[in-house]
Amino acid sequence: MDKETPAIVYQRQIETVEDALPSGLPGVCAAVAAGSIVALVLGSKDLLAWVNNLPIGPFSDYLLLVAQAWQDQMVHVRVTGYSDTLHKLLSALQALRWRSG
Amino acid sequence: MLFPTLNFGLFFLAVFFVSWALVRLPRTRLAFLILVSYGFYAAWDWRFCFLLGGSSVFNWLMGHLIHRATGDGRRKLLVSLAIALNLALLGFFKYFNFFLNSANALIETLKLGRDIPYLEIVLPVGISFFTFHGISYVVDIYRRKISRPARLSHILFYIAFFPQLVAGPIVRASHFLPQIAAPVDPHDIRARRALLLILGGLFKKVVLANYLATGLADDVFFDPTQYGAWDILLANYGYAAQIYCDFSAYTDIAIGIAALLGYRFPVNFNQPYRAVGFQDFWQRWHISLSSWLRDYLYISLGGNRRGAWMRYRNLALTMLLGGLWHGASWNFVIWGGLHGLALIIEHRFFKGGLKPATLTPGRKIAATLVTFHLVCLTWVFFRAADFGHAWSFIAGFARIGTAPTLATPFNLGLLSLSMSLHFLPPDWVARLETSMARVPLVAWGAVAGALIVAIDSLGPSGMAPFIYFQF
Repeated sequence: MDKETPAIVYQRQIETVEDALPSGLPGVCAAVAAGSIVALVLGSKDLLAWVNNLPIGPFSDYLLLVAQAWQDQMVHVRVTGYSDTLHKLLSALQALRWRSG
Repeated sequence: MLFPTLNFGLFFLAVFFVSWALVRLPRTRLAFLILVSYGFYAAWDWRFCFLLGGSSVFNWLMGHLIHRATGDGRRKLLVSLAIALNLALLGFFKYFNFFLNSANALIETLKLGRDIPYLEIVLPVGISFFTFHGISYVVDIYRRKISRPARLSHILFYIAFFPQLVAGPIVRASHFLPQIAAPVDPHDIRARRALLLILGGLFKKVVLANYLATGLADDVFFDPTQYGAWDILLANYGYAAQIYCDFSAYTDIAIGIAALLGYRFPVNFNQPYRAVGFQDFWQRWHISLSSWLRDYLYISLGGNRRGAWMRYRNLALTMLLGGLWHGASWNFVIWGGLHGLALIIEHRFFKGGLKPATLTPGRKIAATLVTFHLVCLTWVFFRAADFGHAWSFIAGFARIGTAPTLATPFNLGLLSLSMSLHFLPPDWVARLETSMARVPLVAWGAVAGALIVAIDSLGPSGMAPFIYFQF
């Protein structure tokens, strides 16, 4: 039978990020901003859908106009095909079946 | 407000930029983070903010009383009172109707008369987690793991900090309060690792967990009688993969978000299906809960100090209560009981439990396979709506002659991908981060933005809540 010491000793909790590389605030802010802009460009359709679901009001009406204009612009420069292509690819994978016989 | 939604994305962006703009005003930053955490919680039900605040203030007061008390007896009385009241709160909201239901069933069986009337009780999201945070604080004060009581603002933040508020990881007071007391360092943000964790978490939840649920697990668990043994087996594997992807995704995103705000959370998962035994499994699965149960419940019950039988009793009690912590249902008690039984058997026949380092490669593979399949069997009770459904699911393993209908290339691919995460090197995220260290952080951010849109496009329309939200 093994015995414990009377005082309760907690095992050290390992942190997921304890051996991660540190970064400075300006770089991190730039990275988050860059990510947001890329998401705004490639995900303009999702943004429009989100704005469409906001409660009706003057501000959301204005937002809808802006989001619609943004979406039209992104369609014009042909960056919206990215998410549609991925969605179609996934649907095709879902439809795959083993050959019978 | 679920993590993988645009609502949360916009909320987080605002919190990120404002909180770092306030970095030179630590008290204002803390007040801001408390405010937004309560706002996050209010998005579910604003009335429960009073419960969250009340619980925090109560534990803060009890911390002061325990710290000031002289004499071991008085300290013990106060900490027992604090734990009892925390558990009473949890018990009322989570278990009142469960025990009432059981009592009514007994009354009906014994024909003792009228039923006890039910109360309409709404379960506050995350109550199991914030109650455990509160208990952690008062017990750590009692055990002198914390040298002096924390400020009220620190306790409010510790208990309500939004990434861990509704589904963990369970952060110890003795681990997190020093982080709150120290100023955050704007030169030491672990952003690369945070981005990898967030992206990995989003993929696991939005793509893997969601499609595993809708394509494999949900329909079979709803009506197992419609399926043969192969589909039942696939659904069982599917749920094992789904719950891992779902819960570890939440944890990864929570850890990533906290890291971007300058805080560090403990590891919660470590490739659990690689476990060679149940003791090993609980050192890899929901580590923050299993270590909490060990330090605050199992050891308090006496741990392994009073002989083998007391150890087995303590293991069984800890796992039964751990099961019940998950939900007010006998299924969770059975699930916890089965894990307790497996741990007792392991301790009885393998001194100190099975450990990967002590096994030959062949035995390690065999032990991993046996453990995985036994864990899968216990998941049946965890997932099924009630005992009847669980039994019906298990009985389905006898319908061997029925051809499988769910073994599509997509489902098998999803399952393989989910399980393959367990067979990467344990430090693969750290390796990936190091290998791309030369890439400028701004490029990491841009790629992360593109990948977030990609993950969203690959996911099904609509988003199921995380499984652990119900606990």
